[in-house]
Amino acid sequence: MENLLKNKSDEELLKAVASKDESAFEILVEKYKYSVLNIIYRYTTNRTEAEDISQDIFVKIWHSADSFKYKSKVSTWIYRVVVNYCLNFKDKNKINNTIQSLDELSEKGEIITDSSKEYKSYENNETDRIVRDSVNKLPERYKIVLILSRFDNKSYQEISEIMNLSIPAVESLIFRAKANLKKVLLPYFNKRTDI
Amino acid sequence: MKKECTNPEKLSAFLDGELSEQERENIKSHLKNCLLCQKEVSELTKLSELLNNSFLPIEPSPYFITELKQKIEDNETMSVEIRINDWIARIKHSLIPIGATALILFSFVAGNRIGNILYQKSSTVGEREIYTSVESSILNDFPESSLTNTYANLLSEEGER
Repeated sequence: MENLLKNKSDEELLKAVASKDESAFEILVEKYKYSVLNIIYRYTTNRTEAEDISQDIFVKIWHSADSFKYKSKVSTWIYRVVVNYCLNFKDKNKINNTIQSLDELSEKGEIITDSSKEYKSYENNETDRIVRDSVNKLPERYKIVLILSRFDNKSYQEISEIMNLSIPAVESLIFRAKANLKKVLLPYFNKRTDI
Repeated sequence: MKKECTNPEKLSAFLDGELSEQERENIKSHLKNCLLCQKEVSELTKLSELLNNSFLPIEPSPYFITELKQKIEDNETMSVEIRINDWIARIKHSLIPIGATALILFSFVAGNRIGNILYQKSSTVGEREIYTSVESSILNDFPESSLTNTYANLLSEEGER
């Protein structure tokens, strides 16, 4: 049964999900969970919250599958749910925008402060923290288009469909996001040292 | 950046692989002779590397689907509970106006009944009183020497006997 479902298109799977077919839902989740989780993770910069929110998004998909009108691709609809969730999510207690402090990283053993190799690790962690912090401070729309383009390899065309924008608008948003980051991160361009 | 330089938005799109073949060729040939645009491209490339290194992807937990199914189950149980609570709340809310309306109707009907009973009692007494007063006044109104008065007197005398 599952093998049969695996060969089905997203549209066929979603139709099955709309009639509460759990196996079809599982296949759809398996297909998109990695991508959805990583978009949310890059948005929230917190793994636990990213897992929690990703699951909430799939719960929403399970409940609203029957309302999908099939006017766009299923993948576009799923990413639109993700983007809307990110953009409309006002509860700041759930999305923790603060980046882990160095003390927290140290407590978790992610920072080691002895020897030159460990110093490099510290330096890299510090640079990563600053980069994540800078991305986090971007206006929401800049941040989400940058995440979709840079990390999820979505084309400008796909982003324009997901966000209901024109392609030039997407191009402009991505450029502005990069320009903002470039200004802040220029001093760190040559700092990151690979171990 | 020179006046004839490529729009920086296009340089960004060029690095993202979003331009047509023709546009790419134009930019490539421009880059050969423009140090400013080369610098812009170099900085954007370094930014991409920095972003890629700082946001390494994560793997979903092995319990992702199990936890998700649990959430759906909890959600459904919760929505049933919410529906029941909503239903109870609606009943509670509608009980007040229903009760008030029933009380008003009851008061109206009961008031009407009581009113009718009291009216019937009082009207019977009233009618008798009116009848008696009318009867006597009619008899008393005839002149003393009239045949009717004499007849009435005879009747009353017979009655007294």
